[in-house]
Amino acid sequence: MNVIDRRRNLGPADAQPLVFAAPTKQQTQSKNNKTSKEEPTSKKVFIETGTIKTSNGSAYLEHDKTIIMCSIYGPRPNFTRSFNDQATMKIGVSFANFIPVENLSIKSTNSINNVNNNGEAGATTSAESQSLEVSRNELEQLIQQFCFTNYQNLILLQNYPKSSLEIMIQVVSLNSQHSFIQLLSDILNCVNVALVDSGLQCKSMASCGYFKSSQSKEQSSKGDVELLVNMASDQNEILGVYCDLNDYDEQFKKGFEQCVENAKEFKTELAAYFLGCIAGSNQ
Amino acid sequence: MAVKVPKYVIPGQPIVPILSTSSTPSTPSTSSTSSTSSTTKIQYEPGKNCRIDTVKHKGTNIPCIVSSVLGRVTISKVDLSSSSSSSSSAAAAAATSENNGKDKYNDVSMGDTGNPGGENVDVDVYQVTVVSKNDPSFNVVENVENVENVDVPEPTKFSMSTPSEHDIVLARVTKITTSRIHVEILIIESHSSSGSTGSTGTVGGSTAADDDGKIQTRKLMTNLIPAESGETFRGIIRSQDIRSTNRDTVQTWNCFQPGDIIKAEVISLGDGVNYYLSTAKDELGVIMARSAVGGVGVGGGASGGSQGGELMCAVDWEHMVGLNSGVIEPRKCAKPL
Repeated sequence: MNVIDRRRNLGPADAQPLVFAAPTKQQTQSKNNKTSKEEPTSKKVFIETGTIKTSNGSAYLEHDKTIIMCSIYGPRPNFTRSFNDQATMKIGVSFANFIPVENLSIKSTNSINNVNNNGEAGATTSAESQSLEVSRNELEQLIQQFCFTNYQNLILLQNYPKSSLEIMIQVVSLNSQHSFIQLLSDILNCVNVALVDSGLQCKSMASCGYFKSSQSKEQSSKGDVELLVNMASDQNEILGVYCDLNDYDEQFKKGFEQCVENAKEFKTELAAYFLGCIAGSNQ
Repeated sequence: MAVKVPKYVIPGQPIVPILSTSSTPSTPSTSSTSSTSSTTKIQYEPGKNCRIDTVKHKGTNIPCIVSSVLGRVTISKVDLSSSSSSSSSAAAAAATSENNGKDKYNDVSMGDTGNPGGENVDVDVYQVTVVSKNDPSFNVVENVENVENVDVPEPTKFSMSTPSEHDIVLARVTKITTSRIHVEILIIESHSSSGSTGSTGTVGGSTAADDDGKIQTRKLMTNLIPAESGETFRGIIRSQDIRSTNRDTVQTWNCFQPGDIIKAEVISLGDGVNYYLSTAKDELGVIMARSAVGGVGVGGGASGGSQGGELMCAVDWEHMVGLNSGVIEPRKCAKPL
């Protein structure tokens, strides 16, 4: 039997494996320090307004490799036969084609989970709740419905009769580590900023707060808890709540309060930014 | 205690309570003069981009003027004694005469039950408006020495408003029938509710100033043409709304032609598609037109319509004449300037 390695799978008989130098102790420490600096507990959010010149208002939000763009058009003429005493609002959500949405699973216990679910997949974090994998179109519909119920009460639609407003949301990039609720909170914040930039008459400037129990290092027996609250004003007016909880227990209450605090903090930052911008441009 | 008014506001931010007993309103804008005494009550009314909302402060609900947009706060005095006059003259009068805007109000009518007996109370009325950051007038310099050197910004921003009643608009005639004129609305010239007297300014905008050199009124054009779709708000001028005299004998083809640029007033929001406009005033009508014949180049014939002809100017209320050829065509002309 011929034992010659004709295909050179084994390599030369006198070959020696490569040996890399072991890292010193000082290098290991510096690498650890660098890692801790690069990954803080809360990622910074980058926001820019007025990115789309042809729109009435636009915003660009970047949060930990998740990029969202929002543009607002209107009021436009609405040619319907019947007289509309207030504006009609249309919301369009689109994911970029190359974004994998398989990681975005929603739980069946959500109150607004009224989309058609194709099947069940993924590991469940609790006995009661089940992660449901939904298609791209269903995700877009879900975000669209939630945004519509949020902003229907925020925008003063009665001041724009016989017209239509369009809010276009584009998810340009998505961090695979982000969950659906975290993505939804980023989308809401992007729309909130774009609304202020557009100059549409609103009841208030809204902001969205997000809470995840694992972020606060609180591991419960039921698994991670995610929650978002979209706030409308300083009067604690709530536009929308999205959560994946079964029991509205103490953990929900704690998460809710944390969301409200986050929303108020975010709104304070935004207000200071906008007021600084217009004060600078008006001088 | 004097009420401190913020200069710049965000949506939902309270500006000032609707009633104040302060002696002098601390206005951030220079468009008003403080002329109140210690016994004068001040009433604030919501203007453009403002609304009344209840704000809870230390357990009590206070009705306040709340902003709806991001922008700059301006407060101007409302002259109730000369409400029939124009807005510009009212503002100028309020600026020049200190006590002109002070009216006698019955305390019962103002809802103040703490002063029985029907005693009259002096009330100054101020209107609070917020100039949006997207508004062309946002960057207008407030304090100017010479009004003639004020740069009126171009209407580059797209509109964030829809036509409302009594707005003066510029429109283009698209189609005429025997009973109505179809137009597309291009520009809102002035958003003030000044009615017939609000259109005395030029097309490019105008400013007026009081003795202190402060701008009191501004007539700016707001572009209504959307950026991408190109669709505009449509309007209709009925034949009886073209002119105020001899309404029954109006011949629409002798008043307007397709392509004419007209100035009209919105009289109704109309139906689902069209706004109802009117040109039944002296200063309303055709402001720019081209002749159907005598033009140079494309569309010079009668079938070419008025878009291809030469530019005409008004010679009287009912006729326009071509600048070079001298051709005369009937139009319902607007009073120039």
